[in-house]
Amino acid sequence: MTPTIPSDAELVKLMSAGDDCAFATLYRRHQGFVYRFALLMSGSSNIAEEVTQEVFLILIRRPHGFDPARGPLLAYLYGVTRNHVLTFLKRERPYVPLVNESENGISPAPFTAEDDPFGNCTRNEIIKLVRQAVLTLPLRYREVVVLCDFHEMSYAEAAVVLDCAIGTINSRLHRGHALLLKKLRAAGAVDSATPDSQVMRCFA
Amino acid sequence: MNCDEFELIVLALARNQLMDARVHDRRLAHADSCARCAGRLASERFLAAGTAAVVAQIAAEAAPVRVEAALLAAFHEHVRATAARTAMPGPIKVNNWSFWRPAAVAALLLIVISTMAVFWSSSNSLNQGNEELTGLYVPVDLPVPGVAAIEDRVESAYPLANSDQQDRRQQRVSRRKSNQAEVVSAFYPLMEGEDLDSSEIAQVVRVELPASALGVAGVSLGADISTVPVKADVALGYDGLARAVRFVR
Repeated sequence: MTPTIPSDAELVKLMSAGDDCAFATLYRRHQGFVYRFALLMSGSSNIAEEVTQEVFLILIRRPHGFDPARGPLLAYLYGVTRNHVLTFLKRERPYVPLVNESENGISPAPFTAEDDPFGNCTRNEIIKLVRQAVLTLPLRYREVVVLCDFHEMSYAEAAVVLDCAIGTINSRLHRGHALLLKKLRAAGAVDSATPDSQVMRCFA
Repeated sequence: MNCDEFELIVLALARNQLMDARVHDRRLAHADSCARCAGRLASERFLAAGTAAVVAQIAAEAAPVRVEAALLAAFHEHVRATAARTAMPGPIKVNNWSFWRPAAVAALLLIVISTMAVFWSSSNSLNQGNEELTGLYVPVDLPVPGVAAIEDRVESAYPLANSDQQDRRQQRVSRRKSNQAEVVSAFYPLMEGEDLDSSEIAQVVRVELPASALGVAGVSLGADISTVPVKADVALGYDGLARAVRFVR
């Protein structure tokens, strides 16, 4: 007979009643997702750590903020995380020289590799370039790319987290990908001969 | 199949998501025949590979252990605080109108009822007092008409300045009402040549004294009753000296 794994909703109820084991289980189950989402959104492990702490403090203080009828606990935690990350980024903006967030995607990024224009990068370089390119995306595209690409959420799940329509997620994801490719192409990580989505289409 | 249809599925193709095999083959066939869509698919595949590499790199990253320790401490503190709040009533939320509304209504009702009660009792007692006063000073046994005038002056020597005086007066009145059966004599001046009508009488004091003391007023009684207590009302002037006396039976 295998022991049943309690659901998130059950653990939240137990936690509300003062069960610290339930809280510890919830924390260990979800803290990685929360931390990595904050890390990819902010690019700072310090911010990710602070945000993770804040998110679970909110769960401790206001467990009734989570409504199982509206979606899973992880979606709720992602939503709280997103709000806190945006707050942190706004607060830090005057002090941190953020990279260009222009929508044309052509930024004077420090990762431009002029001597390797055809994307002959190593795996670690590509990882670094992709992470930096994500951080240069405008926030509305960045959050969709992080949720759908890096956290493998469906459009519907991302729409719940970001509280917007599925079509909005779809269009933002495509726009975010286009911006990412431009940045990576500018950095030499992608073959510049690869066409982007704006050039001619065939209607065969 | 055209580029727009290909665009709808290019992300799924790049991520190698499960799909109908025939649709999959048709899309790939379109990419083979269309350079733009082939490039588009290659770009998305590159991006998918890049994100997968990033995901693999940060898969093991998590919040430091100290965060969990701090959160568990905060959780225990919160549980203690919650238990304390449930044990003791919390502070009144002064901004909560739902709390104040019934209290305000109750206070208003209390004020209205109190005001009505005060008006009712004061008007009632004044009427009753006036009736009693007029009834009291109907001369029962007052051989000298001037004595009644003195008594009136004595009773009204202090105006009804406040409710305490009014209460005391009402007590006196009610006491006298209970003694309506008693008979009083006229006031006799204690000083020779004293004009009681023109004298200022401040207070009348009911005293009980031995009959032998009546000799001061020039009343001589037999020795057999000299020790019998006699009730008398002594009229005092503003200087505190007795001006007149009357006897009560």
